[in-house]
Amino acid sequence: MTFLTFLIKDLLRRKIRLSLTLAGVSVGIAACVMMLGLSEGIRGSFRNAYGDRRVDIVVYERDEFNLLSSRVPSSLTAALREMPQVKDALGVLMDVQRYQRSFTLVFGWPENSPHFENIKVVEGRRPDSGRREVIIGTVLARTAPLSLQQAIRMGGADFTVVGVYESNSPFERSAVIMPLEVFQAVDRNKQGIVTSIDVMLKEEYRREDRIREVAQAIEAFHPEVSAQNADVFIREKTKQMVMGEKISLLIAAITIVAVVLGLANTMITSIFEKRKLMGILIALGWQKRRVIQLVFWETLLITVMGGFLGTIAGRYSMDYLFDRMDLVFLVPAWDYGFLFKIVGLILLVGVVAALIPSWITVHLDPIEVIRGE
Amino acid sequence: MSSREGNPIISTVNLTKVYPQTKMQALKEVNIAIHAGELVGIKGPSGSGKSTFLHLIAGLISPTSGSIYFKGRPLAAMRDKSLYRRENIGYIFQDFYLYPGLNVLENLLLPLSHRLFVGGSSRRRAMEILAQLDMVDKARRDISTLSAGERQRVCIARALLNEPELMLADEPTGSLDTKNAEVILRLLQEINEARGTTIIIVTHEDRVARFTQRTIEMVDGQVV
Repeated sequence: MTFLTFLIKDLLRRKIRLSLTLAGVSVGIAACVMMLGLSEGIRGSFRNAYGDRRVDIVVYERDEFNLLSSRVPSSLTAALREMPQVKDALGVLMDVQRYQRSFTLVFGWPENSPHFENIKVVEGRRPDSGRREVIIGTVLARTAPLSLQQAIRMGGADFTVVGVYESNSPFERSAVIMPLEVFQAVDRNKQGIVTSIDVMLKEEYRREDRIREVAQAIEAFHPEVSAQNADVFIREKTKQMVMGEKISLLIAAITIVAVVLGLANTMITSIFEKRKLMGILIALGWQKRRVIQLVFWETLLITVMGGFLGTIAGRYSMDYLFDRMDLVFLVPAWDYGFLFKIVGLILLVGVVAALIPSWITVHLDPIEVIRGE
Repeated sequence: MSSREGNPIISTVNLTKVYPQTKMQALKEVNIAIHAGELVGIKGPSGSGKSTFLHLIAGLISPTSGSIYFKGRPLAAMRDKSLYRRENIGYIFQDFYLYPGLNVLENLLLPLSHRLFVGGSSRRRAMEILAQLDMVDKARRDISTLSAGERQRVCIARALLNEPELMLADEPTGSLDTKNAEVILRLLQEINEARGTTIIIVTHEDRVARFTQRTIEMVDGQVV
C-alpha cells in the first residue's frame, strides 16, 4: 500500500462523511455561483445594451422619467443625421407587451438599422420590411417556447416568427424585434413617433466634453427633447437596476462569506475527527510533513471535486430556475474568469482551514492526540 | 540472548516528567538501563508512571528534565523522532490503534505507506510475519471482524515489520482474556529468543514476570 493508495482508501473509508462534506462544499459553491451569475446578469444588461453599440447620446422626450412613455417624432432622426458631428442616428421604438403569462420587451428597429449588426440571427432570417414578421431572442424562444413560422400575437396583431437571434444583452435575449414601421403601423398611438433616438458621433467628437457640447446643441435646436450622454442616461434611467445590482452584489458577498465560514467549519470538523488517526500515523513513524501532505491532498481532492460539482450545479440550476420563473427581462450571465477566481479563493480557504488544525495536531505529542487530550 | 555487558540499548538519566496541564509528576529522576536482547518487564500499579516511561523512550512525549539515550545517543539530539521510531522502535499499544477501514495486511504495511512506492519485498515480509503469527488466512480480513487476541497479534506483526531493535509493549495483555494473554506473552518471548529483539513490557499483571528475564518495579514515578 503506497501513499497514493492509502490516500484513496482513507478518503473512501467513511463514505457518508465524504458525501456530506462533498455536498456541503458543492452546495456552498453552487450558491456562490448562482449569486455571481445573477449579479453579473444585472450588471451586464445595460452595459451590453448601450456599450456594445457605441451609442454616444440618447435623445428622448424632455422631462419624461419613464423611458417607455417617451414620445419623440420620428422625423427628428433625419434632422439629427444632418448635424456635422453625427455619424448616424437611429430611432428606436420600445414597448412592453403582454405575451402568455409574462411581459415581453418589444423593439422596433428600422430595416437598415446597424443595431441588426450587433445581434446574431442563429436561426431563420431577419424580418422583411413592411411585413408582420418578428425575430425573437434565444431565451424567449426557449422559454415560450416558440419556433420559426409560429404566430405570436402582440398588441392585437398577429406576427410570424421568422428568426431567432442571440445578443450580448440579456434584455434582448428575451425580447421581440420587428421592423420599426410595422410596429408604428399596428399601434395607432405610435404612428410617426419613436421612444428614443440613439446618436452615434463621428470619431473626433467621441470625447466627454465634445459629447456634452453636441448634446447641448441638440437640446438648443430641439427644446422638446432631452439629449444625454449615453453613460449619464444609463445611470439616471437605471437607478433601480443599479440599486438591484448593488444589492445582488451585496447578497453575493454575504453568500461568499457564509460559504467560506461554512466550508472552513466543515473542513476543521473533518480534521478534528481525524486527529486520533493522525496521531497513530505519527506514532507509527510517519513524519509530520507526510501527515500534513496526506491532509492537504485529501482536502484538495474534496474541495476540487466539490468545487467542480458546485460550479456545474450552480450554473445549470440558475438557468433552469430562470427558465421556470418567466423572468424574461433578466438572464444570469457568467464572467468565468471572475467566477473561477472566487471559487478558487473559497477552495483555498477550505484547504487552509484544514491545514491549520492539522499543523497544530502534528506538533502536539502524538500520545496526547491519540488519547484526545 | 541478553547481554548486560557493554553499552545499554536504552538508558535514562534522572528522567523526570511533569504533565503541564495537571502539574502531576509522573516520573521522578528515573535511572534505568536496558541492554540489547533483554526481555524486561516494568511492573507497577496504575499511576506509577510505567506507561509514561514507555512513551518517553519511544519519543512520543518529551521529558521535563533528564535524558534518554538510545545506543548511547541522546534522544533530545534527534530532530526527527518519527524517523527514530520508524527505524528502531516497534510499538505495541494496549488499545491496538489499528487503522479502521483497512484490512490486516494494509494495517501491517501502514508504517511504510508514507512512501510513494512500496516494493514487493515489504509485502512479502508482511506475509512472512503473518505466517509466523499464524494469521496468513486473515490477511484480507477487515480488522473490525477480528477478535481482541487477533487484533493484538496484528499489532505485534505491525511492530515487527521494520525489524526493530527495540519493541515496546504497553499493557499488551490488558484487553485480552487469560488464554489470549498467555498466547501473546509467549509470542513476545519467542520473538525475543528467536530474533534477539530487545523487548520492554509494561504491565500491572504479576503473571508477566514468568515470561520476562527481569522485572523493574515502579511506584509513584520512581523505580523501587
